[in-house]
Amino acid sequence: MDGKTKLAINFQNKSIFNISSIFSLGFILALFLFFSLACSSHLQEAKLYFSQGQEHLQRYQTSESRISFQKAKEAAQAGIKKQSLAQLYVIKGLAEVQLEEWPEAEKSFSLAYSLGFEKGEEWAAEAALYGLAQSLEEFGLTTLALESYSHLLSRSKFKPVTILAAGRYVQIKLAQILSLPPQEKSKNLELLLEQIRKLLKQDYHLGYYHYLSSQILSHRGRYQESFEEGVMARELGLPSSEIFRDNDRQLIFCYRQLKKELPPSEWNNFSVLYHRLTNQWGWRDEETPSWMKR
Amino acid sequence: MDEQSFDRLVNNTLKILKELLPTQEYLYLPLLSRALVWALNRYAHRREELMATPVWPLPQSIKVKSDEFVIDFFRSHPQLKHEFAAELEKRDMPSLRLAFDCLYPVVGLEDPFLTGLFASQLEKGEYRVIVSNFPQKLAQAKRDLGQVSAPGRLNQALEDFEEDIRELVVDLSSESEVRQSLIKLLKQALKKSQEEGSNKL
Repeated sequence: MDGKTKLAINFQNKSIFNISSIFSLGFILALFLFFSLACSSHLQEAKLYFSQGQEHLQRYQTSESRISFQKAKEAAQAGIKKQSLAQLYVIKGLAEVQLEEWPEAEKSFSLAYSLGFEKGEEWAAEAALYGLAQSLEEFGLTTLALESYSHLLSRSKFKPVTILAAGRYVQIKLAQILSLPPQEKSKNLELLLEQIRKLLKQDYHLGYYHYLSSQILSHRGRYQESFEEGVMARELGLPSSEIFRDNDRQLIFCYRQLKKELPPSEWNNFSVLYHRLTNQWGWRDEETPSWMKR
Repeated sequence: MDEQSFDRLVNNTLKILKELLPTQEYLYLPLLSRALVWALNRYAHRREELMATPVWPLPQSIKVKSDEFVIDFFRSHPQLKHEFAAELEKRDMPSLRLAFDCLYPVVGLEDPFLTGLFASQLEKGEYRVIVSNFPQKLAQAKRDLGQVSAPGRLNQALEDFEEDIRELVVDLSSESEVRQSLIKLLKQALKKSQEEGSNKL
């Protein structure tokens, strides 16, 4: 074989090699694109169902929201089967938190962490602790549950869990405080208020923390402050219509109590402010918000 | 609002509810009432809806209220004040709290599902019946809804009902009145469809 022929064969082989490389590369790229698209469509689907679930929750449609969160979880699972993406595990974990499947959520966040989602480890631990606290509460082990909620509300960096823990903590604490003698009651209510104020320092924009403050202040009999916190909660927005309506009821209750106890000059000032606010909110009169039956 | 269209709308949704919850007629009114009230709320409370903080997941409301709040709830409602006069006079907090836990979500917060579930007792002012039946009736409703054969279809039917109702209602300046008249119409439609059903049999 002369040099020319060798070169031609080499060239031919090279060309064949190049063509097959291009084909393989193309095939790999196509395969990658296919799986990426499949994963991204599962991711989009999971995100869509998840936001639908949130929307249902805002409407106080619990059963419908569960269906959407279940679908979000299933879509994320389908995506994970094709490709393990941290984002898919995060969505899956978040849906599981909503479905109150705490051990599963812990696992999903741990896997998200192993795939590079930095907060995953912390979220996993906090979801697990919240799940444990809830089980302890269900079993009647209130003291242990309270300790776990207290730990979460002071240390947790996973906001959904902090918010849930704060609500449960205030609820249990208030139930315990109700049966205490008056002096101890005041002292404990002040301590509880202090804990919620710490949360408010971090997230002043969260209407729900103002709502909790308003509820505690009302137990303390500090109706003017309770009213002010209730107004803040209303203006900043509340997470469900149930809480929104309960907050309105609290505002009306404060109005009635202040009517009884404020000196006339202070009452006049308060009454002007109250009417201005209720007009702005579109209430039919001082004790009838638009959602309330006359 | 066009009453004929409303009747048609209710009957169409009822057909689906009958398919999915054939033996749980007591759930029709609460489900439709909730969808209906939400349809109205979405229109009337658009501002509040938009302002709502996207807090997630949703926390619970605080159920533990002060004695003063509980007493004020009963005293400020003429019928409850009359019905629970003895307990209020004795300041019998355990009994008042027991009744409060059941009546506050229904009468105080006007939860659309619960007001539908206890519509007949509310109409007759049978508040003590609500208190004695509350836990069982609510547990039963949750159980029955949890066992529905096609939850997605039920959800879709109620969403469609909500959308169509919103198109029917033009003026929502007095939401509670509209809600009352719609619930009344709804009950009539339910009664009519029951009569038609028994005639066919």
